[in-house]
Amino acid sequence: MLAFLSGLGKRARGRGRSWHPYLVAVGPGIVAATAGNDVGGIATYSSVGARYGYELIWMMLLTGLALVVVQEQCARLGAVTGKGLSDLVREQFGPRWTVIAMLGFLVANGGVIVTEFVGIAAAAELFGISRFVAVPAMAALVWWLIVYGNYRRVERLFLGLALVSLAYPASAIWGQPDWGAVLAHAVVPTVRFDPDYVLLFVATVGTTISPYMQMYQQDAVVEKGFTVDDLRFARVDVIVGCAFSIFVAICIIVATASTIHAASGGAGVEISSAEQAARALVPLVGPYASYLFAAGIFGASMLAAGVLPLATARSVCEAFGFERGVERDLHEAPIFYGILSILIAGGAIVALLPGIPVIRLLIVVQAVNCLILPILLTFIARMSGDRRLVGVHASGPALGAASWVVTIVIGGLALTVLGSSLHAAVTG
Amino acid sequence: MAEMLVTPLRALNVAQTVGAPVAGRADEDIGRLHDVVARVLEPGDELFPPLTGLVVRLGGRGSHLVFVPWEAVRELGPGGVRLASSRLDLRPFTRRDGELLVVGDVLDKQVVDVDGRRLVRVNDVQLAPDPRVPGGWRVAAADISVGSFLARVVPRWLVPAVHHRFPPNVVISWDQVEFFAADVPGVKLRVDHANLARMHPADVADLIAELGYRHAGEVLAVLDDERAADVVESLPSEVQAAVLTALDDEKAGDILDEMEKDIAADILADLSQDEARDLLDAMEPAEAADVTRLLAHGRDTAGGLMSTEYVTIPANATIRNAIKRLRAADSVPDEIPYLYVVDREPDGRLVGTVTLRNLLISVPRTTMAEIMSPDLIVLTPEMTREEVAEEFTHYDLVAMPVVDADMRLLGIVTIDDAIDVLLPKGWHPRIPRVFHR
Repeated sequence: MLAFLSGLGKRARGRGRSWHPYLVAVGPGIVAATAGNDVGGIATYSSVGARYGYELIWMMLLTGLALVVVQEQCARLGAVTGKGLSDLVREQFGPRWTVIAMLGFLVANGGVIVTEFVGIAAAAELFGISRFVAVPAMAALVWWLIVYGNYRRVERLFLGLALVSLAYPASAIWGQPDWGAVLAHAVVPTVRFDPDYVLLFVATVGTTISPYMQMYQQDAVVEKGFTVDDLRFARVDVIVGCAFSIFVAICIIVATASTIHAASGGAGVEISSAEQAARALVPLVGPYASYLFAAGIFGASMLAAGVLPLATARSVCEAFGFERGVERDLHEAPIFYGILSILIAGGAIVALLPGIPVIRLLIVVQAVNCLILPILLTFIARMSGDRRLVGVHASGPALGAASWVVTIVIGGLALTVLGSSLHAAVTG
Repeated sequence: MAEMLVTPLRALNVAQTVGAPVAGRADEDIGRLHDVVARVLEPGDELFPPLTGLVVRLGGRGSHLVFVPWEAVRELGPGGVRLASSRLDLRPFTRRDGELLVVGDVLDKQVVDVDGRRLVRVNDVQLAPDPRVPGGWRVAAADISVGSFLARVVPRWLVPAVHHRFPPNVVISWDQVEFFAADVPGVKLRVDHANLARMHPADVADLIAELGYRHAGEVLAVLDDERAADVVESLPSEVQAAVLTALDDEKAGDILDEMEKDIAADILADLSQDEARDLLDAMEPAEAADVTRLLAHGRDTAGGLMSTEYVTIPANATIRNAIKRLRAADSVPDEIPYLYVVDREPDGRLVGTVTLRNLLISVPRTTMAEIMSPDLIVLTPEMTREEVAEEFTHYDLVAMPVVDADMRLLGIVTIDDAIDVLLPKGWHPRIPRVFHR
């Protein structure tokens, strides 16, 4: 599989834009991949580490490769056509498939938005603030900032807070993990067949390769003005971003494995609260772990709680041809603002439903992402291999095969989890 | 608004007709309707393109696409197509210059609603009989209504119910539609974007920025250089460079010639050295030299902000001379906040400024030295944008000269170049989209 990775950059043309403006601005690939480590990602990776120790590290590496394959296609589609993902789906596949794709986006992203408010609730409670105060207040703030304020101005603050996830690599090292075991599990796959394992496995794929990341990747490439000439940079950006994101994800697994999983004496525990998940940071900051953890997930959740509804509403309106964008007023773009508001309000309300098992919900949402993914990946693989659409930049045999392998494997995973939960529903 | 409530007599919706059966003269089954071909080649065609034929997917063995000229079509209706002849040219369909495929090129694409100055997506295309040519049909309107979209989603038997609940009544007359040929590589279409050429450059920029660099390039290629330059100046900075690289170097150079030089320099700074050099080579030597000089300075310094469009006058010149020189000049800047008075020409030092007001109210014989204001407030090229903004607010000026250590004039910074810093970020006149920066 490494062979095609090294071939990724080859087709890029010699001429390209000077890189320094991008290095300052951080490319879309890096942002998209980092966004994968949001509250849902942290919860999923923590659960993996706490429950199964280092056992699943091998699959993180494979998932990372799959992520590169998927994101590269979107970057390429965006740079070559100058069009966003939903725009292309509509033009290439017509109204019926567009409806399916957009419903997929709405369900997947709607679910992720719920998790962001769950994250806000969890962070608030670690600071001793009631979720019934924090979630409505933050939902209102996010809505107000998008509609009347300027989200971009506060985005950096949240982005800064979200960088707390960088504490995990440090914590992973401080925790003195068994490096031999880490390496062994990175190379030797361990597979189990209990339903919890399948669910966590699928959730990990779903959070690492979420539908919104493809949407974001392609739209951002278009909006930042990448052209065919910038393909080489776009690809490097994707690879660096994915590598970094997977590195952080593995560190989260290692950090939780060497603390929570090790403390259970190797039996493995299911994480059921944010407080518990925060213990992975104890080696680094001791008693302040829960505050650091809370600040981190608060930042990541606020960032995504603003960006996701906005991007989803824009994307859906683009596919159907409704007016969109915060430059328009409520009167000009009622559907855009309607979708935006429902996503935010709905996310906040679901997150406040009494008695929901927090960590479980976060994981199930990621698994739902994985169910929707095969549909989108099929569109993406077909378009990126279509010579009529992208001409000489269509996927060659290696990339084409890789894109279909990824699509089919993820499709298989989706069917497995569907079958497994149906089975559980019938028998249990 | 271009939206109107119309139910043209015998209008035909393309999306509802595509896929319908095509029958020969003797009612025998030939195939299914695949696309409708219109001509966009001769002047006037783009207003309401006339249909020239159909693309039919042959049924049975060797299923492929063939072209059926309009003369061979006896009847075109929602129920299907009846041909006047059973003989077909069986060569596979290949498109030629000037041929627009209504389904392939327009349906589901984004087009500009010129009257509404907005982007819309085409849910269906209406064809109508040509009132002047018996038997002829033309592309009449783009249907953007929700009903037409839903009618294509639901099964056919539900279409009447959908139309009843959501009437397909939002249509844009085709002469108010601007569609794009950028998605049709290798085929020449007459798309002069005359409607866009009449719109305000800032509105054009808003529209094409949302359509991506290929469409933006297509529009700029047909606009005249000066207008194209205005459009590029109004584009979000992220896409300016992308759009220029989508054009051929010659056109890009012509547009850069017409642009404000500080913006042109910013764009070239975004490009690779090779690309920047190609574009500089394509520019007029004098304009290119101005840009090159600006490129030497940092983008966010006074040197990077400054414009090289200003007027200098020797101190001993009279007002009469000054005005004569302005009239005779090849190019006079759009805005002349001040005339800059130098002690000698060429290569003199800056000694004062003269406002147009003083020029107007003084006697023609007066020399510049007499009416100029000798109290110079100057910027140096390395001052930061923030420092420049501070100077502007402090001294309440509309333009300030940038000078070197010997007081030689390098350029001027006008208040609108410094205004980005003065305004709170959220007020930035061009509000970019979600993911910028």
